[in-house]
Amino acid sequence: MNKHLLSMRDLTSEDVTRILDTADSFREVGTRVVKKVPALRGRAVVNLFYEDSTRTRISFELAAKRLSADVINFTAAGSSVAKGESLKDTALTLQAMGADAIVIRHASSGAPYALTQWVSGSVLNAGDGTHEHPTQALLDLYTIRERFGRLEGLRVAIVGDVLHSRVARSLTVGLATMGAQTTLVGPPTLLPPSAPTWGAETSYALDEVLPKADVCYMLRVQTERQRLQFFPTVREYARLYGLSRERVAQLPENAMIMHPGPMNRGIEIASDVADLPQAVIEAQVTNGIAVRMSLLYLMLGGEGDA
Amino acid sequence: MPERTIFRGVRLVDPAAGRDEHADVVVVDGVIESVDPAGKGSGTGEIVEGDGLVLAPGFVDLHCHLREPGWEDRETVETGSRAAAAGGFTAVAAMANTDPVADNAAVIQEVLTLAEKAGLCDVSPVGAITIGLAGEVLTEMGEMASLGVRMFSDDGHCVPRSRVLRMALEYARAFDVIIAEHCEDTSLSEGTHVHEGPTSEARRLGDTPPRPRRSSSRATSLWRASPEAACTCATSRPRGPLSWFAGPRARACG
Amino acid sequence: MSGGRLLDEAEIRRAVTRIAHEILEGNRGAESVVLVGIANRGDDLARRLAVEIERIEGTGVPVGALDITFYRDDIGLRSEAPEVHETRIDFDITGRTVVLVDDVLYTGRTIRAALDALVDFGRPTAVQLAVLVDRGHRELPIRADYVGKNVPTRHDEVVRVALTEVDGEDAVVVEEPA
Repeated sequence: MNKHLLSMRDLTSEDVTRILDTADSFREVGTRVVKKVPALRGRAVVNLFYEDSTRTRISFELAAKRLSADVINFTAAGSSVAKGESLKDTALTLQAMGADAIVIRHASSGAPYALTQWVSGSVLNAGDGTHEHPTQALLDLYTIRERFGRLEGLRVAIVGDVLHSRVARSLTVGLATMGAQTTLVGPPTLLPPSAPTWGAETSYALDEVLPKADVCYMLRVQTERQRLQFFPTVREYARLYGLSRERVAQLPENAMIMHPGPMNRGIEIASDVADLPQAVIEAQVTNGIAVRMSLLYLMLGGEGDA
Repeated sequence: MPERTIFRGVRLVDPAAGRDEHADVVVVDGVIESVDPAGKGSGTGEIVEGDGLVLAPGFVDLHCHLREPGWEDRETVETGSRAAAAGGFTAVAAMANTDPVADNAAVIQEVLTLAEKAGLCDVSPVGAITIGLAGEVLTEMGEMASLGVRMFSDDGHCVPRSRVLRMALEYARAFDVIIAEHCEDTSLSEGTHVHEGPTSEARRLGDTPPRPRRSSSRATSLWRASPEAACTCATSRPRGPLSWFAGPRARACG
Repeated sequence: MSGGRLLDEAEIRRAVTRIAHEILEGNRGAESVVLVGIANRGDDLARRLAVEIERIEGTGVPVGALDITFYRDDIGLRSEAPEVHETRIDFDITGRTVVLVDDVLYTGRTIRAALDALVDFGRPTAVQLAVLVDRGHRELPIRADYVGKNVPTRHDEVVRVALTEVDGEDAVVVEEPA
C-alpha cells in the first residue's frame, strides 16, 4: 500500500480491491460489543482540519480510536492557525510530536502534497479544495460494491455541481479504475470542460440518463452558486436537475440513490426521496468508518518509514 | 373530402430552391401536391387566378416588437400579426422588452395565448436573457425553453457585464437555443443618433460624439470563448438562419 | 526431522476423531462447549470437529471463526500489513467453555492474540486449545490441551498444513528451508 493517500489516481484496481476487502473485516468489528482492536495501539493519528467538517472528522476519529490509536484533533478555529501560523509551521510541530499519520482537510487544492514534504508520517487527503476527496470515493465504491456485488460494468450518474466537486472527481477516477462507466450530469455551467479527461461522459439532460443508471449519485449544490449565476434560480435548478419522486420512478428497478451529504432537501433531492429505501445515505456513513479503518490499518500496519 | 386549391399562373419565387418561374401550384389539404409550368396544372378544385402575382414561402421576421403586454396603445399581438400577414410574413419572433418584460414563463405563455387567439401568423416569443433586461440575473431559460422559446435576447439593451453574458451562453447550451445579443455599448452610443461620418460632423446631430458602427467585437470575442454557444448579433436588421422556424399554421398568401 | 509427509489424509481423519473424543471426555459432554477456529484453516478444522462431535454425541456444538490479524504483536514490523480473513462468532461466549482450534502451534503468539480477541467478545468460563500439530519452540507460556501430533522441528523448517476446504487435499508436510 502507498505511504500516502492523496488522490484516487494513485490507486490501482488491486489497491482498491484490497482496501474494500479489508473494510469488510472492519465492518464486522463495528458489530461487536467491544468495537475495538489493538492493531494501531501506541500510534498517533492527527486530524488536521482547516475546513469545518463534522462528519468526516468524526468518521476519521472513530476509525482511529477503534484501531486503538491515539487521536489528536486540530481544527482551525481557535487554534494557532487563527493566530496566523502557516501550514508549514504547524506541520513541523506535528512532526516533532511524532505523528504517525496526519489526516488533512484544507481549502487549498494541493495542501496535502505540500504536507508530505514536511512530515515523515503518512498523509491522508480528507478533501483539498476542489481537487479530490479520495476517502469519500472509496467509501462510496464500497457501498456500491456491497449492493451490486461488483463494480465492473456498472453505470453511474453523478448529478449536480460537478465543476466544484472534489467528491465527483475522486469518484469518477475510482469508478474508471474499477471498470465502471460514469456519466456526469448538470447544467453546462457546472460541468468541467476537462470532463472527457476524467474518463466520463457528460449530459445536460437528466431524464435521458436516469433510465440507464444503476447508481444515481446526487451532489450537493451550494446556493452560493446561484448568486454567481451558474444557474438562474434554485427553482429552475431543482426543476431540471433535482431528483424528484417522478424522476425516481424512471430509474431502473434495482437502482441505488446516493448523496455524500449534507443534503439540501428540496433542492437537489426531494425530501421524500431522501427517505426512500433506495437511498442508502445512512449506510454510507457506517461504511465510512470501516473504510477509513481499513486505510489506516493498511497504511500504518506495514513497516514504519521505509 | 380533400380541400383542393389551384394557384394558376403565379410567379413562383423560392430563393432556397433557386426557383423564379411562372407556375401552377396545386395545394391539397394545406400541403403542396404539385408544381407545374403555368398552364399545365390539372385537376379540380378552387381556382385562384395568379395573374403573375408572386407566390413565395412565408417570410420570417426574426426581430420585431409586438409591444404587448404593456404598450397596447402602440401595438398589440393582434395588430402586429395582422401587419405581418399582410406583408407575407407567416412567422415572427417577438422581442422581450414588453412590460412586464418577457423574462418568465407566465409572460411567455400570455404572448403565446394572444397569438393563438389572433390566429394570423406564428409568433415565437423571445425570452429575455436577464431579469427585467437589467443585465444582472439570468432568467429561467430552461422553463421558457420548455414552452417553446428558441431565442433569448435583452434586445433594446446589450448585456453589459461580460461575465453574465458568458454564463448565459454556457447555460443556454443545454437547451438548443440561440442567444441574440444587442450589440451596443451604451458608453459610446449614449445621446447619439447616427453613425460617424461627414454628415454627422457637419450637422452635429446630438451634443455628444456620434454613434459608432455596430460594436460587435465584444460579442464576437465572447463567441470565440464559448464556441458551441449560438450567438447572433442583432441590431435592427437580423441576419439569422431561417431554418429553425417551422410554424404549424403557416398560411400561404398570394 | 527431515523433510517429508507427516500426516496423510487418513491420519488427519483419525486425529480429528480422537481429539473430538478427548474434548467430550475432558468436558464431560458437549453441553457447555463452543468451538472457535483460528482463521486460516483452524476454522475448517473446528467445523470438522463439530461434525465429529455431533456424530459421537448426537448434539450440535456452535462453531465460530476468528481472525486474529488485528491482534498480532508484529503489526508495523512486517513490510506489508498482513491479509485479513473473516471473523464470525454468532453466539455468546460468556459462561461457556471455548475450545480454540488451530492447525499448527509454534511460538504461541497466535494463541496469545486469540486470547486477547476472545476477551473482546465476552468472558468464557474456560478456554482450551486443540491443535492438529504441535511443532515446539514456544516463545510464550502457552500449551495445547488436545494435540493431533507432536512433531519436533528445527526453527528453519516449515510445517505446511493442507486441508481440502482450502488447498484441495489433506496433508501435513515438513519442508526443508529453501
